Amino acid sequence: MTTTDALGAVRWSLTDTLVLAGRSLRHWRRQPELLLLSTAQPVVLVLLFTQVFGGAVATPGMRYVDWLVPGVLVQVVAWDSAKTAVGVAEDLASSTIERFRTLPMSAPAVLAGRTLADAGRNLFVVLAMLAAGVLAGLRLPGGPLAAAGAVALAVAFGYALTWVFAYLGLRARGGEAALAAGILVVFPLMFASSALVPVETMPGWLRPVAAHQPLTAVIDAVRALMQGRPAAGATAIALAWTAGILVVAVPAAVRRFYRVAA
Amino acid sequence: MTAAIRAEGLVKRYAGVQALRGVDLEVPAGAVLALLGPNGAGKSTTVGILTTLVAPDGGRAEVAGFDVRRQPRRVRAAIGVAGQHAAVDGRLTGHENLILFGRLHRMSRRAAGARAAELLDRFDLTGVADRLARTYSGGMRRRLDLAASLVAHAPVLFLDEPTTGLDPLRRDQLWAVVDDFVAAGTSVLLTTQYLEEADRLADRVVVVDHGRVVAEGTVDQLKHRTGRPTLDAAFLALTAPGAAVPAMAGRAA
Repeated sequence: MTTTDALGAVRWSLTDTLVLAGRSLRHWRRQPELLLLSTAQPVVLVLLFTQVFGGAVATPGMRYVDWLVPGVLVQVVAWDSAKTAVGVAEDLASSTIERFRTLPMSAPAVLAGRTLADAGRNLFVVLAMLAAGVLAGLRLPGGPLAAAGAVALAVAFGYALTWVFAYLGLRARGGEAALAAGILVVFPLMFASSALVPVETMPGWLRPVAAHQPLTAVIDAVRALMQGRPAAGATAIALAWTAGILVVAVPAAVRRFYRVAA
Repeated sequence: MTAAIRAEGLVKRYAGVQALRGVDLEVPAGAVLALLGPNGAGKSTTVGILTTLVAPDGGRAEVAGFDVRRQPRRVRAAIGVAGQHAAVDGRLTGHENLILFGRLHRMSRRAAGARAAELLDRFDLTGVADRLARTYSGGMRRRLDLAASLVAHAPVLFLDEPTTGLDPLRRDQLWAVVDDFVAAGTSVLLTTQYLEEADRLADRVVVVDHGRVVAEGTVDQLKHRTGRPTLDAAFLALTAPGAAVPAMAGRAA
């Protein structure tokens, strides 16, 4: 393959990815109530958690709302990315994918298009939650630039997770099974983390696990960025997790896709 | 002149079931070949291999001059597929479906849009172009599916039971569209359960049964060989249990 061919192939893969991301966006546009509800849920979570846990949880040197919002935000990003598994599994079960396979398109673009669209939905949800957080009293002393960095970090991490769930979606038989598998992975990560309570309050056996899992890393970085605290170290760890997950999950999902559908 | 489709000795096994036991067939450029056979005879597996969806366990096949195993991307650029192997996206409108498939065939946005409008018109779908495909009737869906296979002006078309579920009027309309494409030089491999359809569209017929070609020839040749006046009767004679002897004789003739 010459360099020109290779460049052309990359360009077409990108075009295919964008075309297929557009397809997913159109699906949501057709079900605005779904997008609205899946945005309303996390917004309600933010408002509920700040009010319910606010009096009970002591957070060192920080108001609870400032502690909680970054946590719930990353939790929801993780939760939301599990939906990728459902979309991939449903695509696989339908014969639309069979037609894709008879087209001269880039096969991995089916996954790349969906994960890209899901990242777009994630960004939308994150911004809505941030707005709800501000309504609930969240302050962003880190300033708008650091806050934007926090949002970008959360969405980038969510994007990496969508590839994990794409892989799970390709392994599962059908959308329901894929969602069940996704929840099984996401739930422990969501709650055994620094999202809702400080890790120090957890029992000794759980503490090291909770402190060193990826969600905690990302939550700590998002929290530090939003609160204008030193964030370089936490951000580096969060980015390392994001990159590490991508390096493992993207090839695994693509390989799996070729095995089951190409 | 390269054949549009050439398959030699295709073999496929599925978990202990011998789906194909050495299928040979050839579609000359510009010709229409009908692949006939009872359910489970191997028609779908054959189409699956030729459209790069199924990897054969043995034999080789070329479509539009490209090897289906070594050059699948090139084969895909040269084919249109309609029928049970390929479906439209029910959550997109008819118009959006055709544009999507055009774009994935690497057409520009403008070219894909123009082609979509042209095909919607041709298949009498303009009035429902902006409705979600999942709200279409069976016949409308089928027509959209066919239109999708024609988006890219592919030189080789696979029509897998294309008129199942169509009323006679729509069926005639579709046959006329296929005629137009064939007149313009498109080669077609058609599978069908309607022998009338094979009679109407195909230059030649290949009959498969139990994963083997049991007869091939023009419709007239098959009628003649089996001594049956209609293709229906010839088909029944060829695929009836114990029909192997006249069938093989027919093949050797």
